[in-house]
Amino acid sequence: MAPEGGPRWFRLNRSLHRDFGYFFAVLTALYAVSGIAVNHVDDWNPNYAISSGPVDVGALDTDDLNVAAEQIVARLHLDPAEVRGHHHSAPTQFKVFLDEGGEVSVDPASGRGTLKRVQKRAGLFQANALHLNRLKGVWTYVADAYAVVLLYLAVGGLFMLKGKTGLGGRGKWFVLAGTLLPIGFLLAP
Amino acid sequence: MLVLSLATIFACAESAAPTPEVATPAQAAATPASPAAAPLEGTVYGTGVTLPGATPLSAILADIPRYDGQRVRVEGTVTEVCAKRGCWMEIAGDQAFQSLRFKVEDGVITIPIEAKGRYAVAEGTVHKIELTPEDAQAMREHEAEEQGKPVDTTAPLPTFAVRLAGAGAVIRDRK
Repeated sequence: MAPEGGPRWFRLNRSLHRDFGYFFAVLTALYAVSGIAVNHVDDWNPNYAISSGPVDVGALDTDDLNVAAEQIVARLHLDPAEVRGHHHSAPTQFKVFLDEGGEVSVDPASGRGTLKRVQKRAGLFQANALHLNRLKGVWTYVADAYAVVLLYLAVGGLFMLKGKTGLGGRGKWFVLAGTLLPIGFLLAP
Repeated sequence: MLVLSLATIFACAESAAPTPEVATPAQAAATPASPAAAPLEGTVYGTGVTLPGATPLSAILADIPRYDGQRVRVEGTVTEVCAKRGCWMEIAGDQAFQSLRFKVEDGVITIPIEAKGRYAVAEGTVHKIELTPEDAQAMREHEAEEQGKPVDTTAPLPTFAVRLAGAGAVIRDRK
């Protein structure tokens, strides 16, 4: 007869499931939030908040690109320390690059253009870096280990309960339905 | 939550898979004989830079058939970066109004938007891509959407595009 609480492997499975669940609770939440964020990358930028507004610095009365960049910075009252460089990318487009990916882009003849500012989405940027493994290196192996544990949690979770709510009872129908869901999408025309 | 996590981690596993390196016969023959590049200062992306000498971007654009399929090293200021996925950057040429797009596989290399305005030393394989009018229009609309700009309807549609299929890069503040 099995000891109270079920066979040994059954109790071990429950303990492991519980403790892995505690250990990876925050990481699982981060990955889930990041997953939703990057799923909708076609509709928004999950990493950066980019704001853009019109500017008019007046015509740039010089052919010297360094001077042109200084004129733009001065006329927009920007901090010269945040300037990274400049580039004359087209006859009607002169860009001054700012910290964090921002830029001023103007038509040298008219002085009209846009000022773009870029800000990392706090929290989400870092969650995406972990989830999409931008860190590379050792994090790759941590993420691999996490994936293995998730596999265990998925399979081990099937055997957490016995009786009519367990896998042998109604549980199998939920598993079947959950299996058919992605298959249905894959087979759909 | 568990199901969602599994779905997201497996979705990412696909994008994080390493991309097989494209090697043409000419490249395979040329690369081992080339002396290695000296270590470069800056942040390394992908496989970094292995070729010792840079090819001027103006030379590539002036004779695309010659460089098509060749592995080259180019250098210049980063003038634009894919803001959503970090999957490409535009590198300024040595002559006015010239640039070349360095394109990487999504997830293999992620170029941060902060690279804009910095100096890139990049290595990859030159590809000339023929474009149908539909392709060209779709590309223009996609780029406008990515950059948050209106679609330019005034300029004629290009019939081809030149890309540098990126293997690696080193990006630093200054030349």
